[in-house]
Formats: sequence, C-alpha cells, structure tokens
Amino acid sequence: MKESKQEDQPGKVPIFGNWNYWYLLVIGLLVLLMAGFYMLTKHFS
Amino acid sequence: MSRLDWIVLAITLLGIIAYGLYKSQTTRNLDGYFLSNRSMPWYLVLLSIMGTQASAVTFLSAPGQAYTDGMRFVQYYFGLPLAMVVLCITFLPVFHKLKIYTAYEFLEKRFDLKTRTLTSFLFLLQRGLSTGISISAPSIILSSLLGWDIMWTNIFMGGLLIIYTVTGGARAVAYTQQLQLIIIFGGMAVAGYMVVHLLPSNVGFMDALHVSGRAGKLNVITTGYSDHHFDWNDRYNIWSGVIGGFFLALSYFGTDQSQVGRYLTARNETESKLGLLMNGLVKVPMQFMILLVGVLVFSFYQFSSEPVFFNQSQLVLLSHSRYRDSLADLQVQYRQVQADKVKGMNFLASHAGDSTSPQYRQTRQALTLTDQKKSWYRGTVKRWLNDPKVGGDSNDTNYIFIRFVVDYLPRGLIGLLVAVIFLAAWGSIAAALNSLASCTIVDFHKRFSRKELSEATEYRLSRLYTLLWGLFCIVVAQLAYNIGNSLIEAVNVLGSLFYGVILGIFLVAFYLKRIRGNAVFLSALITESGVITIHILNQKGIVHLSFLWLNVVGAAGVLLLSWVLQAAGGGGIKKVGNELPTC
Repeated sequence: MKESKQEDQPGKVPIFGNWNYWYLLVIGLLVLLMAGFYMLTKHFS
Repeated sequence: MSRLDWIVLAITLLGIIAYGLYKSQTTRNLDGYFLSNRSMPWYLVLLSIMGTQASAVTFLSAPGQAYTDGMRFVQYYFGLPLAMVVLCITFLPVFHKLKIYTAYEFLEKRFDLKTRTLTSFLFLLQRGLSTGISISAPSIILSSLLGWDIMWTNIFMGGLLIIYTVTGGARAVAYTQQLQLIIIFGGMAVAGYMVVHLLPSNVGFMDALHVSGRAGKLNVITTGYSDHHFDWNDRYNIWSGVIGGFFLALSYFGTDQSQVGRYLTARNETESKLGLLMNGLVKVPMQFMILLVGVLVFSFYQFSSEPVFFNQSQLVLLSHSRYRDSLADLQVQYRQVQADKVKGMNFLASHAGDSTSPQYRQTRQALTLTDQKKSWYRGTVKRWLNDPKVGGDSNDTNYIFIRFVVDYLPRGLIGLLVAVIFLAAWGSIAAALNSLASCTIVDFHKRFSRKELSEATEYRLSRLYTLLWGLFCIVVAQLAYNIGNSLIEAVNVLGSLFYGVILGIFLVAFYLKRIRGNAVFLSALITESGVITIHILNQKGIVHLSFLWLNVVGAAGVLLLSWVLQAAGGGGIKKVGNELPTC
C-alpha cells in the first residue's frame, strides 16, 4: 500500500480554516449559478 | 463502426481493465476490500462520487433531454449542493466516528437489528434491480444503433468490469473511476467542440445559442407555474429541483451504500468532507455543460438533415407493419419539408444583418410553418409506434446524441464516444457491485452467522458476493430487455420509491432522539406501502404527482408517523440515551 494509513482524525480545515466558510461557498455558488441561469433564460428567450 | 473505431474502443476498454488490475493490490480483509483501508485523498473521493452517480444513461440521455425539452433538466441538481452541506454537518461525522462499513450498521446502534436489516434489504432490492436496468439501458441503445447482439452487449456492459471489481474491490473501483472520468470528460468536450465545428461557416457559437434560445431550449430556470397555478406533475422546475432534488440527493448520498461506501474510503473526515463539498461545487456546472452539448446538437440539426425519428430500429419496425406504405409517403414529404427548413435557416444565417427586410420576415414566417409540419410528421410516427399492434417505443430521446455521433463525427471519435458510454456504465456499476457485496456480507452474512469468520474467509466471501451480484445484475439486464424499453424510465422512478423512506429512517435517527426502533420500523413499513400506493395511483392517472415528490412524501411520512407512533405507544416520548456520537 503506497498511501499511508492515517488515523481517522478530523484534520485542519483547508484554505478557510473553518468549515462554515466552505458551506457558505457551496451555497453562494449555487445562488450565483441560479441567478446566472435566470439571466441566461431571460436573455435568450 | 470502422476498424479504427473498433481499435479505439478495444484499447480504451482493455486499458481500463488493465489499470484496474494494476491498482488491485490491497490488504486481504474487509477494511482493505470495501474501504481501501480508509486511505483515499479527497480528489479520488470526489471522482469516485461523481463516477458512481454518472451512469451511461446520463451521457446518452441528458443531451437528448436538452434537445427535446431544453435545459431545464439542470434544475434537478439544484438540491444537491445543499444536501452536501447537510451531509457534512450531520451524517459524515457520525459515520466516521463509528468506523462503520455500511450506513445501515449505524441504524442497529441507534435503533435495533430489525430496522437495520429492513433498511439494508430495501437498499439491496432497489440497488440490485436498478443496477441491472443500468446495464440494460445503454445496451439496448447500442445494440439497436450498431446492430450488436443484446446478450453480448449486456455481458460486455456489465461483465468486463467484474474482472477488476472482484479482484481489487473499492480501491480498483476508485482508481478506474478516476481514469474513466478523465476519458469521459475529454470525449464530451471533443463532442461539444465538433458540434460547433460542424455548424455552417457563417454560424458561430453565440448564433447557435440564439437559434436554440428562440426555440425555447435555453429554458434553464422554470417556475412550474402555468395558468396561475402550480403544476405538481411538472418534473423539472426550480421548486421540484431545490426541494425534491435536495431530498433525493440527501437520501442518495447519505443513505445509499453505493455512495456512502465511496466517501468512507477517505483517509479521514476532512478528506471526505472536501470530496463531498467539491462535488457540490462542480456538479451543477458539469451537468449544465453536458446539457449544453444537447442544445448545440439541436442548433446543428436546424442547419442539417434531421431524422424524422432518431431510433432507426423503430422505423424498421414500422416498415414491417401495416404503416409501411404510409411511412414511405411520410418520409418523402418529410425530406422535402426538411430541405425547405435547411434552405430557410441558411438564408437567415447569411442575412442576419438584414433582419428587418420583408424577405427575412417572410422566411421566418415560412420556417414557423415548416417547424409545425415537422412536429406533425414526428408526432404521426410516434402515434404509429404507440399502436398496440406495432408495439414500438415512441421515445427516442436517448438516441439523439449517439445518432449524431455515429452520423457526423469522424472515424476514431465514434469509437471513443462509444467507449465513453461503456466507461460511464462501468463506473456506476462497479461501485454498485462493491456496495451490494459489502451490505450482503456485513449486514447479513456476518451479522447472522453463528460462526466467527476469519479475515481470509471474509475476504474470500466478499469477492464471491461481488461476483454473484455481478451475475445477478446481468440476468436482470437480460430480463429487462425482454420485458421492454419502458423499463429504462423505471430506473429513475425506482430510486424515488425507496429513497424517501430510507432517508426518513436516517433523519429520525439523527434528529428525533426520542424515537425508538419499534416506532420507526412500523412507520417505515406503513410509509413504504403508502409511497407505492401513490405511485400506482399516479400510474393510473388518479393522482398527479411527479416522482421527485415521492422522496419528500417518504421522508416526511416516516418522520411524522414515527413521532405519532412513539407518542401513542407505551411510555410516551422519552429521550434515548446519548451513547452515540451527536451531530
């Protein structure tokens, strides 16, 4: 096995330091996409 | 297919099998075989989750869906990112702390053995049948299009992957899914580029979007409201997508072992969370791009000869029926209308800067009439196919994209796109077989065995069960073909019949701490009967409810009923001891 077996411990939260920011990013992108799709629908209809 | 296509197809498929076998080395116990020793980094978890969800029908059907119904299908995925967040907050920490193999083990710790067994059984039933149909659906399309024997297509579609899935377990599944997805996305990107490239020289990408936009194909956001009321039977709108899609995604990713088994392979909770959240970030844009290919194919066919019906085998069926002469006449008339259409579209494209001229306006009016005629011819063919004496399949959505590939893409690329369909099927089927085997051994064989099994025996049995489930699914695929094409649609509905109830059981486990095993078990049985009854009433036209809402009904039914039963039962509602990890 090349991958070292690491213990199942919650590691440091990458990039933002807090999972809440990750959740906000996911939800924020979804809202942005929906707004973009709405404008696309309006523009081409 | 040309010789070059066959070579590309063979090299791609054999390459995947060889890569799967190369990556098969794992420790010979349950941890190694089903969870890859919990050693995977987040990006492999992400690709494995995506590869498991995206089946062959996804890549065959989604572009066809955009072609016929526009891009509103993307709304089906709006609930997914929200579900990823809820999973990361609620389900994932508990699953990791308990170090479980299957999601259903948690239910025994929280409730009792019968609730765990019932839920695992519902999963095996639903996943076993839907995996069989997942093999059958693309096999029917490829065998119909390319004239291949259906039995051998089923065996190749569902059988070859067994070699590396049995040998390498979850580790081989994850590594092959990584390579499969790279080839799939590469193939789809090339197909998208080729559609634009094949458009007339004076028609660009934006022009193609305007053409499909005018035809209502860029309807990405729809509200489901028509004539001042909400249509509950409308499958894809922003509400059914966000609410129904949320429950479906939460159930699929949180309680379906084929997905739970993927992110439990992560080396720790952080890597699992990252994999799931990245899936929430990329899934909607990815699905948008796949649908966009379908919209571009629609624009392409506005300037080129479009078949009256995309499934050629059904036209052959009609040509041997009592509609033979009528079909021949219709095809002659259709060709003339089609030629007028192409001529008109090319005129509009070459006079785009002169859109106010009378000739331009006349051509546009004439094209509206031509489109109506084309719809009428297509509708007539569908009506003939629906004739019980013909017994045809009037839905050609799944054939649109692959028909375009075979008719218009250059040699070599056809082989690559056919390989993409095989690989997409293999990715989801391999994960399904792995999860079916893990539930069989962990939730049933090991749980009910009176003997203590050694690690070597467990490993040997796991491989055996993977093989047996693989064979079972191929048999189901063969039976599904014999029963008829309508079963292709059933794979979507089948999940919604069971997912809601399974999700309800898990939601009670996580959020209603005072509910005990008997109440949730009984409420699950009653709600499942209710969901199946609603589905039957829906089929008979007595109730009008899109299948996505069945997930909501199932989950809400179990939550509500279990609370009522617990309150009505002996002892009222008392909080269960807090021995389990909290959310």
